Amino acid sequence: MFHFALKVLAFILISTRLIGQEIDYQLRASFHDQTIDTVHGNPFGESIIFVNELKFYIYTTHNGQTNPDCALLLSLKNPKQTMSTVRPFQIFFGVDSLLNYKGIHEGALDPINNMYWTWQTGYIHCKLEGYILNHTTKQNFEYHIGGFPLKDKRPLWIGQKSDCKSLELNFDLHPAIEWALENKVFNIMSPGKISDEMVRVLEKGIKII
Amino acid sequence: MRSALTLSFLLLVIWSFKYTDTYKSNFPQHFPNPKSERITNLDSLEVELGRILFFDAQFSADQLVSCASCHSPYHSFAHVDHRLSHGAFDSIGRRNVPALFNLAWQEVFMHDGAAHNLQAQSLAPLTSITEMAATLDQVQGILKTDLLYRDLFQKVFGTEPSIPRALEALEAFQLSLISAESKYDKMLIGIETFSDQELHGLEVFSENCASCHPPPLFSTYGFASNGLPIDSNIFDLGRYEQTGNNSDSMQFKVPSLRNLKYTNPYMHDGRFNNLRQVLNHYSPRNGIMDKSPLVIPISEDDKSDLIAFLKTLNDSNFIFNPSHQFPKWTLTINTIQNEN
Ligand code: HEC
Ligand code: HEC
Repeated sequence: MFHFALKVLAFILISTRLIGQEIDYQLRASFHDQTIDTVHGNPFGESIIFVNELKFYIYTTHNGQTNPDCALLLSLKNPKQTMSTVRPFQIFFGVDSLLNYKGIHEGALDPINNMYWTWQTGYIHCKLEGYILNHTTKQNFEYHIGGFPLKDKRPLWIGQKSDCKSLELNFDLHPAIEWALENKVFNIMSPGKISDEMVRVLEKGIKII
Repeated sequence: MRSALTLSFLLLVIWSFKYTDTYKSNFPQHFPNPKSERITNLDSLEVELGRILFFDAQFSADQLVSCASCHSPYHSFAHVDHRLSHGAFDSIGRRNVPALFNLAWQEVFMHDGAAHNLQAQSLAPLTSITEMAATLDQVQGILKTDLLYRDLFQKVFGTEPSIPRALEALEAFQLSLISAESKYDKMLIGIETFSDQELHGLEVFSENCASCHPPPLFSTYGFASNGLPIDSNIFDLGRYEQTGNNSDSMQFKVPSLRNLKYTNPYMHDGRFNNLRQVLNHYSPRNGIMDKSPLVIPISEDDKSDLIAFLKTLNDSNFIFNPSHQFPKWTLTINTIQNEN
């Protein structure tokens, strides 16, 4: 009897810990300190940067574990989303390499979201698209970053939280655009060395506030 | 009252047999452990759903092409007759269609290993312009409105149809395609014997071919170059196209040599029509020197014996297995219903 009660108690303890709490995730895309202006563009030296699309995955882990329900797709069009999250948790950028390897998942990871490469299997961690206006010249940029395999499989850590009801992610695109202009890279469409470099730069810009 | 109870009990028993028995994957004792864990635990109704999806041409942009248009059961799920694949709107692909069987023993797919996962693999043909040329929105739309799929997904998964579930079912059907009942397999377990010629062919094979095509799967399922010169029209560099490493140039996934009777033409670009041509590539005939870096000296007599051995790898039970064919009942009735 005592054993049974103990088991029930343990079960209750474990299950309450493992039941996630709804947390609001909110994206604030910025350029330096300024919230990004999708209409008038964002000044950068002599140029103006226009961003048409920013869409990326984050996922959370609890005790190092994650699963497909812990992934969230944030974008300029859908900057605010709710996800049940077990606390305390860590947040990472992109799609966990194990989930990426394991196959196709539902919810945020459903390929219907157009964040999956069909010709070289793997999830796209992040899409960033737009153009740079410099006086009269227009330079488009289009980055689709991710896929499998990322050569260096280190997870892209963003931060951790033990308790919160809502959470704001600031994504500063300045470092990425700076890197792109410096290296004259305006198109990334497949996984590989350049894509790996870009992902590191993107990672730098993203923080929890 | 009692009879009603008995009846419902009986129905329950029948129902549970029908819907919950797991697929008896009778994969053979002489095979190594499979790479896919799912194979030991396939649900038979999910396999059936996968088969229906595999044969359903609704999903292609012109409603004419299904997976089976290119992967025909009568050709060991390969294409026959043409070198390169033919897709929606008569488009022509860049590669020969590989046969599909024993996929549970493979870890990477496609001639160049572009797909690392069988579920994900299906996304490529569904959306490729030279294959089914559909968009995922269209595919999802069909799945969600077609009553047959709504019903089947509910039975198999207890949910609405979705793309990830459809891919899971397609994977289940493809994992169920096991070819292990050739004369060679029967010889191994002692229920058939080889002729002298076949035995000698086996020797020639073990000496010259088994390093890349080891039994019982007859492939390492890794990548290698078998010395084919590049086709300057297609310019296919194989594995290099995925990795960008120079050493991978012209390496292709080693295909299994089972069911060759049904799968010609051969090689990633279908350049050879028959086994003689293949052997003359590996081992150029007297005097004619190929530029190939891989030259295997085999006499003309040994070639005949080798071919006799390769024929023992054909598995007609696999080809004519009724559970691999077009699901006539379901799909024909469904088409009629959809039209009305
Ligand atoms: C237009 C013809 C065509 C259609 C339709 C087609 N395939 Fe294929 N399939 C191919 C070709 C060609 C390849 C080899 C591609 C490559 O190596 O790049 C292939 C490769 C494959 C492979 C990899 C096999 C291996 O051994 O590596 C699988 C699995 C597969 N197809 C399944 C499917 C499924 C499932 C469908 C339907 C959703 C489908 N195919 C539809 C032509 C087709
Ligand atoms: C160095 C590794 C290697 C050796 C040794 C080798 N093969 Fe191959 N074989 C391959 C590769 C790789 C392919 C696929 C090439 C392609 O797709 O273009 C292949 C393809 C084939 C095919 C075509 C199968 C198909 O479905 O298209 C046949 C038949 C074949 N080999 C038979 C043989 C025989 C018989 C021998 C021995 C005389 C042999 N191979 C030795 C690597 C090898």
